[in-house]
Amino acid sequence: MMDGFDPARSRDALSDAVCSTFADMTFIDVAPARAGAGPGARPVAAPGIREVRAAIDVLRPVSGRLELRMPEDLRARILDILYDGSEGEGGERRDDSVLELLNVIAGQFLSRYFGRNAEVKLELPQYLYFHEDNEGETIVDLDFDAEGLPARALLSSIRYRY
Amino acid sequence: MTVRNVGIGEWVVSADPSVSIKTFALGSCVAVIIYDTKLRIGGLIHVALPDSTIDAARAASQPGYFADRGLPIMIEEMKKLGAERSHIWVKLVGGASMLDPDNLFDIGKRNILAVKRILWRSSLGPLAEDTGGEISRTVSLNVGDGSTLVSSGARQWQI
Amino acid sequence: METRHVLIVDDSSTARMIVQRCIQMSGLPVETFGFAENGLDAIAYLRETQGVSVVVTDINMPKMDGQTFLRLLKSDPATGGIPVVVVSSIVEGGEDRALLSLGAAAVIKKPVSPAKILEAMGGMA
Repeated sequence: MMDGFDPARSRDALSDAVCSTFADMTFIDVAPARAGAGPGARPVAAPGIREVRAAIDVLRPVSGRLELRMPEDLRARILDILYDGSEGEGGERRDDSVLELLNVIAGQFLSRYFGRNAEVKLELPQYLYFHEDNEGETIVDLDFDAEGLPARALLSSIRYRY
Repeated sequence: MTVRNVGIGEWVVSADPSVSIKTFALGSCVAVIIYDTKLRIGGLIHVALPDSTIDAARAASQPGYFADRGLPIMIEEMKKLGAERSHIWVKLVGGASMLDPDNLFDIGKRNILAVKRILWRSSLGPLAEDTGGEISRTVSLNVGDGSTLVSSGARQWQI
Repeated sequence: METRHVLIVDDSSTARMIVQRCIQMSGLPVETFGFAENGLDAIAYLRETQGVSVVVTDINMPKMDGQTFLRLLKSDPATGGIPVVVVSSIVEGGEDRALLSLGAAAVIKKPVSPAKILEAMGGMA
């Protein structure tokens, strides 16, 4: 088993993966948030808006957890764009859009980090509720600006108990 | 061959095989080219900004300036002429990287994404694109055969 | 080979919708779409349904993953001839030798797009 993720390489790979996947899948312009105050500063969620948290565990070649966090209104925007009023195949708009987004981000991140021929293994993505915090150490914590709405991506180590 | 020029914020739809539709100096602007291969109908719009809500007056007088106003109108015009999704392709040109006057975001990228959002809504997606980077592009569509020629400076290439 | 009846297999309803839309947007002639959430349900669908032309499947799914599903499909004379396109976040588009050696006709790395669909399936229409 390889050593853990390198923070500097992870930062670049994750930032690119998040921005490109949001653009390709949801057509939303996501860019790294700017520091400081004033116009264009890092957006914050409106008060009272629920936060959506999704996580996906990387199992191979290195274990880790990728998390995507966003306010409910960004998730609603994604749903509106993707489904654009249509209901999906069963007449029911099921809410796994953020899970699938994270799944694709994870694949793009791992490609960028390990290169094209690495054998990677991912768990299935899941929503996190009641602030389930994993016991691992945060390797990368990135803030983004999604056309005025905040989004956050984190990579952490994860300890598995069998 | 008759050349019909499209200025910024304008569009042309043609079913005349002797026509070539052309637009120039696409910096951050995006040209959306839609072509029905069966009926040989072509449309080209030169969009400058993604979102018309910033200028309602201009949106009314020059809808083609904004992706969210002009593109749906052009798509409807083509449908009225009989263009059908099953034999349409879409190509995108332009959207070069350029910061807005307040240095907050990349207008070229925003234009590309706004156009793709609107195309998605109409169940259309680009087959090819020549976008981004830092060059200014000129593009023309030959309505007779759908050939699409992009140029920048002395170089030209088909997409 | 044709694309008239496509079975889309993915545990994510969003992914199934995106794949369907991209296939429609590619201009490929499809009359019927079928859907399954995992390999097990996909096999049940194929047993009950005639005339499926192409299967488009993810790999990472609960109950039965895509590789197992692909192996089973290819080893059954009733379904072995149906082309399978793998669409997944953890493959390398076009050149995933392991999947191609299992019998996949083409491999697409997510995010999927009409252009990628046409490149993978255009020869099948």
